[in-house]
Amino acid sequence: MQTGNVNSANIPKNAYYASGEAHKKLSSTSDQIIKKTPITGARIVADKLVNSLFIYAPKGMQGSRNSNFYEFLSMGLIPNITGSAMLIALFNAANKSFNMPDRAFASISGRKMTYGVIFYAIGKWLGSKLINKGVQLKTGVDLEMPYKKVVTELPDYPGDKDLTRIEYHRVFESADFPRFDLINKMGEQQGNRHLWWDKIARKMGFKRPLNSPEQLVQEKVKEVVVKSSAAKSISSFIWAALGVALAAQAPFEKKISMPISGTRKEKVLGLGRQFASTLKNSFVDLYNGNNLKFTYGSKIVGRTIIFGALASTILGVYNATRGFKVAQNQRDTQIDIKKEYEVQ
Amino acid sequence: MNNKINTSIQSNKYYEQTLRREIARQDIYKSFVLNANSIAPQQQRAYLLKTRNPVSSFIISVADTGKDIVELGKALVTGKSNDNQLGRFNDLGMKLGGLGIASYLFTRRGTGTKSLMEFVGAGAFFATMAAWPRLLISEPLKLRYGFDIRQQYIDAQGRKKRLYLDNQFVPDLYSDKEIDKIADKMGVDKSNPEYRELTKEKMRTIALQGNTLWMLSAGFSPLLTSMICNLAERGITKYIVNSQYNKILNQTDNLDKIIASRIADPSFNLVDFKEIQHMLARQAKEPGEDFYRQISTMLDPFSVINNAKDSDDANLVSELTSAATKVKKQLQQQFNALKASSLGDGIIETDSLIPIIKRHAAGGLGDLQGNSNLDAFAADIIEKLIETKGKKRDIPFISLEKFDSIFKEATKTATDPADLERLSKLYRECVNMQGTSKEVVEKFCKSLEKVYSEQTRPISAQFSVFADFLNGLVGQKYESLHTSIHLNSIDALMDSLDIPYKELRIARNSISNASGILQGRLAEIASDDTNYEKLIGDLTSKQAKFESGNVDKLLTTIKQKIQKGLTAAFENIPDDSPLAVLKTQTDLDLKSLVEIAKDRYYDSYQEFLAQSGKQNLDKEELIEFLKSKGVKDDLLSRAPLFKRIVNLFVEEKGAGIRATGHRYILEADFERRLHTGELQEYWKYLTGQDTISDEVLKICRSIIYEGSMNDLANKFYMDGNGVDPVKILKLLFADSDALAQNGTPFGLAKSTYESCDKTLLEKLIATRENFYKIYAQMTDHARLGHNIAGVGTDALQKTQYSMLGRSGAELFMDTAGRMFNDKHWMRIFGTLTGVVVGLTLFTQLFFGKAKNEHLYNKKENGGVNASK
Repeated sequence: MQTGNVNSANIPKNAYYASGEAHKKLSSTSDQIIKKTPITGARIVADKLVNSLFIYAPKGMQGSRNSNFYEFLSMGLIPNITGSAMLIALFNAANKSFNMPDRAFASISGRKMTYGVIFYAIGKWLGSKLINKGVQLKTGVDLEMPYKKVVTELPDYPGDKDLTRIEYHRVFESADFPRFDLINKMGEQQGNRHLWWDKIARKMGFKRPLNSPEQLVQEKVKEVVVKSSAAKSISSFIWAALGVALAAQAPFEKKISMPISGTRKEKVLGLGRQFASTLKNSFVDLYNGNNLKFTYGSKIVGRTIIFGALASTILGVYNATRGFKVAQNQRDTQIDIKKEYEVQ
Repeated sequence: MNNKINTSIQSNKYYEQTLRREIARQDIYKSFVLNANSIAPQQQRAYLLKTRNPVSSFIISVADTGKDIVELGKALVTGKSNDNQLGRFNDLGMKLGGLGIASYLFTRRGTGTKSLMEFVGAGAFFATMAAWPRLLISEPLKLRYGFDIRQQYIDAQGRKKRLYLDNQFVPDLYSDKEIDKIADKMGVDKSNPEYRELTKEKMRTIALQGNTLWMLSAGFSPLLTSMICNLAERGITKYIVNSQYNKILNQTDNLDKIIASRIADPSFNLVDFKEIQHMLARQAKEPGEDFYRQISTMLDPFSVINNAKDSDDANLVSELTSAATKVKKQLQQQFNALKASSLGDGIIETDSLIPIIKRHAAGGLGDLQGNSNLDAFAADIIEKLIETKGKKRDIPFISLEKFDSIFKEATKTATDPADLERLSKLYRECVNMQGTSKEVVEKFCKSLEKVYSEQTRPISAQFSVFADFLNGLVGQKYESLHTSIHLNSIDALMDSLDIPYKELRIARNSISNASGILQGRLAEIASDDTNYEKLIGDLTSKQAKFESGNVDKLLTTIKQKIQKGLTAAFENIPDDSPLAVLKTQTDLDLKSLVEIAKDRYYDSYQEFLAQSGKQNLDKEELIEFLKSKGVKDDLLSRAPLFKRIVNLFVEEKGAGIRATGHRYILEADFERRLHTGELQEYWKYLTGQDTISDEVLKICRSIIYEGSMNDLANKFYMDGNGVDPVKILKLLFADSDALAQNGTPFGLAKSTYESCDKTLLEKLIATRENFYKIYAQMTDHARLGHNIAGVGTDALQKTQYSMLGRSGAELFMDTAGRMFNDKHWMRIFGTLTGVVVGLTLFTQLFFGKAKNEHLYNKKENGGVNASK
């Protein structure tokens, strides 16, 4: 039977986990959230593509034990690229041998297909980007937060020393197992395990730091991740459809070319201006419908696509962040540190 | 005491707790000991899915999509889901997006086939995306190794997944029996104690290799898509043509209803009357050319065609749409009459203004700026009045506003009070003439509205229904019934001609190339009996289908019905309507009569002129002259405009396509007759010459392969070889009945004649007669007015163009271009498809060699095999 007074203020901060210095030493050999710069995403894609072609594909074709699901998914980039190239080639490659009127007509559809493929990709990218940004703005959760994963492989041959590989994942890519541990680790490196959680809790409407913010925030973050990725999978394809519909408009039948005269800067600017006006005109055409067979129908479907894309983004962000903010003036759940506890 | 009791209670509590803890410990121990043998891992709840046939797996995939939609809704509402399901949402989004794109592009295509192709394209795209890994990877591997690398299973949570999706997590779900079967198929040595593990390892390897190959090759699946679409397009065209025919057939019986519903349809209203009223209010005081043009176009019942999709129709009608011009004149007259009759309270009439101004000026408007010439001042005002309005005669009325401003400007310089007083008197008197023009405008507008709704709109509706029907049936745009059948037969012809790629490449470049190649190929075929019979059989059977009464009968029925309806509608037009001009017969003017006379009877016309001793004949004399020459009344006066438009429409639409088909038959027949000697015989009969000289043959071929309205005359005469052109035309286009003894009537080769059915034969002969007449009436430019054969046709020039059809060489050139494009495309992408498919299949030959196979072998010398 013991009774005693424990004042939590007496416990030194971060006493039970490693110092920031120690973590920095560990970072090269363990999983780690990486700092995001504007080109981080592009660099990761480039890394995946190069590895897919030169490492993952040969490994897979040999039936290696070490091939994993990440590599399989990364290789998904290859058919995206060859498929796009194929679609463009199918509509363009043969055209130059055609005689004149045919060539002109064929290049119209060739041009449309080219823009269609490119705009599809842009639309799809934009669709999920907009929801990501919207969600980040409202909740502070960066759905694209990247981390570096160190994977240890089985030896391919006796004496194989090169057993580690780097993979690039996203912290919230899995709704079942988000890497919350890495978020804690990121905080620890900066001397406060709760750093990120406190930030999100503030966004949720808590005015002062909570004692154990993860408990409350994790559930909410999981909900946001599921809702927003469900919304993204629909919204991004509507945006892609919008891209294709824009490319299908009459203004894109004409060739967009660089002006012949002027300085280099003027030429580039001229090209940009031409492209911008083409894009604007096709947007107007899409909105107003065409004067072909289904004037009315094309108007309705065109507007549906435009407003559908916008609505899917707005509703997607709204739905994902709905209920994220707790009620205003929430009573702090912080434990009163001055209170004495009886310990049996 | 108190303390003691407390202690006792406390100690009791302590013992109680200890006791409970001890019992619990005993229980755990006991239960462990008792159940030691039954403790085992939970039973495997995951299981493999059975392979299903494609139909039920399609149905299941549709059902799964439905489930996904439900799950999506749940996830969006509750925010609870799992990775597997989130991955499925992505596929769902792709499907929905694809559908969205296809339905949008569907609305953007002009023709039925192209629209439908959007869906076929999207469908084929998804189908090949799904089919590629199955058809080219998993199915061949299954044949070879006896298991499906795309095998699905249901996991313990009831989620459907692919067994080999993750190389590092493959659930062990195959039964030993199944593994044994696969091991047999793979040829794994069963004496190996670990042979099942080895088989599983091999299966994993093969699945991984297959999946990797899938990722590497899936990007090429659009190749397969486009191949499918290429094949599908012909079938779809056929389907659309059939449904189109049935639709027309059904609708013909309900023509009255369709017209009635179109009249009742509020969207069939080309005029916004509010706008017209605004326009009238703005302009009616002083209407200009523009105003009348707009109003008359609005009232013209044929202008509905100008808004039509088929620009050919618009061109055709615009030729005769002096209709609008005529309506315009009528309108102008009516409006002027209306104004003149209500002049008292109308607008100031310029003519009556002038005497008033003159009168007041003569009353002594002196010394204005030292200018004592009063008449000059009046003249000044008048001049200004007129100047600003253009020519005086065209502007019978002037609005008050306008008059005001001009008057003020004219009197700016007047300073003398007396002058000003007189001027203001003048002004008042002028203005007194001015009433409100509102009533006139309203009256006119009402009458317009009445004419539009009672006369123009019903006729427009009938006419547009008529045009729609005709276009669906025989319109020359791409997908009418006639053109589709026609294109089909051209494709069939090209198939039977079987022109190689290299020759197509040459033929598409110029008409003369095309003509040379077509002629060479036809001559080659004509020189062989069986080949020729096959070719002409193909040609005539297709053409006979084309001629088959159905389309023609439909056409006649529709024509009769519409003509009846239109005639009734036109007869209902009252004589005072501006549309009345359309139903009255108009006489030809002198100029057109002279043209006819000069064109057809140049020599006798000149003679007649010389006899009468006049420079020009007057109209009556000319008509007498033409009548004496046997010109029919129809030609001298013109039937009512609406009748001519309807007739022209039908004639023009039907003529061209038929003749084009006939030309191919005639071309083949020409080569055949040349080969059999029938042609030479006929030539001998016509000219007495034993052989047909190369010169003549050249002319013949140029007529038969390349002849058109424009260039025929030139080609014919510029060669200048002294051959009688009429005889050449007879050789080509006349019946050689005189030679009936050799058994080939109608001037056709025997095998051609035999393969034609009765209807086709009649139509073919009619076309040939048309050719003969049109070519023979060509005037010789060297000898003005000289009609070659003394025959002519009464058809309008425009119809004559159609009656000739398209020249065989020209059409062949176009078709060769089209076919070259197809073949060229196919050479590139067909080859590529072959290479990719071949490579995908070839690679699989090297699958399934487990790298570490030795690890599974019998352990030798009691050691491990790893170091081997």
